[in-house]
Amino acid sequence: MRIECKNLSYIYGQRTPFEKTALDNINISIESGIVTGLIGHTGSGKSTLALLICGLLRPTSGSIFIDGEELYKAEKDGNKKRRGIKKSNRKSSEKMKFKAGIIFQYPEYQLFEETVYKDIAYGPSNMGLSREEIDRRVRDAAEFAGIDSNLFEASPFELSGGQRRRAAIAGIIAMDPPVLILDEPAAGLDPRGRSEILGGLREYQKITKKTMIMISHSMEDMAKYADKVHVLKNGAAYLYGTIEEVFSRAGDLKKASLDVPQITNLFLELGERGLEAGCGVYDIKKARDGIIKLLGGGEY
Amino acid sequence: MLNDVTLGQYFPGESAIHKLDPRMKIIITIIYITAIFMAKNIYVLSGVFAVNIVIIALSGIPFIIILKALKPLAFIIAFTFIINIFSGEIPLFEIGFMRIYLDGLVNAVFVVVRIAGLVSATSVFISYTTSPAMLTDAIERLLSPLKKIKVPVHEFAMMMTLALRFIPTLIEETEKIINAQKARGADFYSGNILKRAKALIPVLIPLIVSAFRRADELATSMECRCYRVGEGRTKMKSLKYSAGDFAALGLAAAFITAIIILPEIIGGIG
Repeated sequence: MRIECKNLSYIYGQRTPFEKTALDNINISIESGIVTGLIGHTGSGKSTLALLICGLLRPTSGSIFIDGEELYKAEKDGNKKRRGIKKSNRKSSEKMKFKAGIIFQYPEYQLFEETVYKDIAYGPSNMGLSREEIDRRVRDAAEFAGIDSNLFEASPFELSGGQRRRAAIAGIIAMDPPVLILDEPAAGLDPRGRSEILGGLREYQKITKKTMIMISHSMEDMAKYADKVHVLKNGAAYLYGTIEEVFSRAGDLKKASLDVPQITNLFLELGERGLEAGCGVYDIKKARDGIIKLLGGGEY
Repeated sequence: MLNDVTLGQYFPGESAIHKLDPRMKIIITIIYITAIFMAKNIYVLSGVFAVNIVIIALSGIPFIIILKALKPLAFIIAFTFIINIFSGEIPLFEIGFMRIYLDGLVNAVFVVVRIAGLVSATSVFISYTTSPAMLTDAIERLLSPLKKIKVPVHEFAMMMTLALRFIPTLIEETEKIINAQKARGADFYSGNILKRAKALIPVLIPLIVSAFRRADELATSMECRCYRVGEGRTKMKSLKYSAGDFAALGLAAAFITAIIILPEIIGGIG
């Protein structure tokens, strides 16, 4: 699914002393079938943008198009006709229901059912699927997320922290949404846990060819998992491009209070001292190639 | 959905009202409320109301916010107003079979102004311009004489501080959980009351679980910093009355005296 945001703004606490512009007239598009990273310093509006795309927040102004269809248009017109006060009060859109799945930070805090199985099945059963289909999806999602079937009858609150997070992620994957948004689902995990969760989700995206949006403030994660990156700065779109393109502009990233991976920094500094080895160096493999090139080429 | 909660909502600022000692603010609020109910004729009441407007203006809190605080009371205000205008002795005019009384109308205006004054003055003095921490500190100090008769004033104040501190946190948490469950297809808007109540379970259970988790973590971290209830605790910011506080108290005292004495003088002349 292709997602486009046109002149999108969101203001929290409008008309109160706490008014804060989270997104300021943003124009970006998210391409279908790839992993798009949203990166920015704390308070740059990443999470707000995710909520808007999911239809969980209603934009203050501007519009969102999903595959060319405007998210709130039909509802707006409907309200004019019916003057439905109740409907216009809704902050969310029904249109994105089941189309965008979002995995929040600390997703384990959304678990509530008596058993792990029931919790994973909560989303699919809200979709009104048949019992067989729900069962199939729960089992697939659990297997993917690494939840053993002998845990199905356990209470989610008995699980360990890591298992709980996996169960919660399985609950989203079981809904099989065309768009999957990751709002830092690996927050608070050690590096190994991070790469297990994020790497697993990236694998899942490769197999299913879903449109995936990944929010993070870690450049290393972006380099590892994202195809294209949007950089946000103070609620505005700042940079967009492939990883190489964005990382080659380290100076601009620093202005947005972001850092490029250390390895990229090293190669940028080498470049400044006259050892030009390309600026899109962001992982070990590329670094090795770069060093070989600097040393005079050849195969090793 | 939850943004309208004004309880414990503090608007930081630098106004004269903000700078008053919170203990003095509580005392002045009590004096002001007494004044509202002492005002027995329309001139005095309009004087009291004018003072209210001056206080709001001094505090720098936008009038729209004050109106928002009054909004939940709109029904009660309208209801008492209507009840009052239909009872009295001096008929004013009739609409169909309904008779509206002059003294009833005067009473109705009195009641409305009193309720509005009561709520707006307390919100300006207490919730909007006093941070929750200052407020509980002030209550603890004002109630401290009760310690003599073994009332656990400090514990009470600490519980209040923590409760107020966690209201915004829990609201934020609730919003997060609501979003997470909505994304999983929870529907809070359709169906009958029973269905809607049931739809809240996926929100309430995680909320309660996390409230307990937070309480547990908080208790641990307080113990780690050697928190003990008992004698000899000192405050990092201890409250001190300044000259301005006494000036404000003086004004309040003069104000209430005037309200008690003025009608007598006016009455004497008239």
